[in-house]
Amino acid sequence: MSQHSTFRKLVTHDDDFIGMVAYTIYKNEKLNWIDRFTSQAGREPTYSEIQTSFNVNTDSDQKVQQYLGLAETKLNSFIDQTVAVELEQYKKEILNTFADPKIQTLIDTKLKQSLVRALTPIISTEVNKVNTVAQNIETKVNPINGLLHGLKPTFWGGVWQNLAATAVTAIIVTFVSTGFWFYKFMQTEKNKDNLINEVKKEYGLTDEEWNKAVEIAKSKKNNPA
Amino acid sequence: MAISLDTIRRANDNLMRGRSVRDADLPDSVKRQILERRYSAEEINAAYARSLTRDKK
Repeated sequence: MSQHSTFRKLVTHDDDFIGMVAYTIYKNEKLNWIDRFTSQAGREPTYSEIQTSFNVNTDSDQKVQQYLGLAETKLNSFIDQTVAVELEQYKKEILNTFADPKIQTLIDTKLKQSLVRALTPIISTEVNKVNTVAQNIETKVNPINGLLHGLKPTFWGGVWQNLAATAVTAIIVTFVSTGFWFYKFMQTEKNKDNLINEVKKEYGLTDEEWNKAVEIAKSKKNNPA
Repeated sequence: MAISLDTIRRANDNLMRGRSVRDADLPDSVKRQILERRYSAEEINAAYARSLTRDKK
């Protein structure tokens, strides 16, 4: 089979990229075979030797499918590597971008703005809750304030209150002073009685003799002559 | 996604050195996604045809 025939079997149309890669695999395999032959025989193989030894079954459907399958596998490996290398490059660029102080400042600013945006509704809700509680307290306190306001004296009320307070104070002072005086008086009387009893006891006087002595003293006081 | 010639060179170099996609400096989930995606012969040929059309324009 000629090389031309193999190419036609592997590459079926102009856009058959897999076929083209498959043909390079076939060609590589053929060159390797020629190298091995040359190495072993000490000379290059003839066209006839290539056709009878290497190209025995390269045009079979099984061999063609094998070349096409290998091409598909190799191209997928190449695509995988290309995507990986490209993504690694993107990753480096992104990391370098984030390392830039200007970008970091921008990110910080954006983060702060996002934080403020996120927190504002939460803070507003909490502030509203506090305001509601404050209003509730005010609602409960207002009637008490009204009561206290009602108890607040007017000018004349204040005058009367002061007068009443003064009167109560005077009464208390008088009562205490009187009580104190009465207490002293009782103490004095008690002491006088004790003294009389001691005199009576000292001189051995009876109550009758004492009363008589008192009358004599009173009459002498009334009639000094 | 436009692939640069430098990327293709490095990908080819990795292939020749036998470097696997698993060795790439990428998250495991990304590497797994890359390896799980298989392109059929038809998809590859269609992409090649598109690139030829794009180049002609």
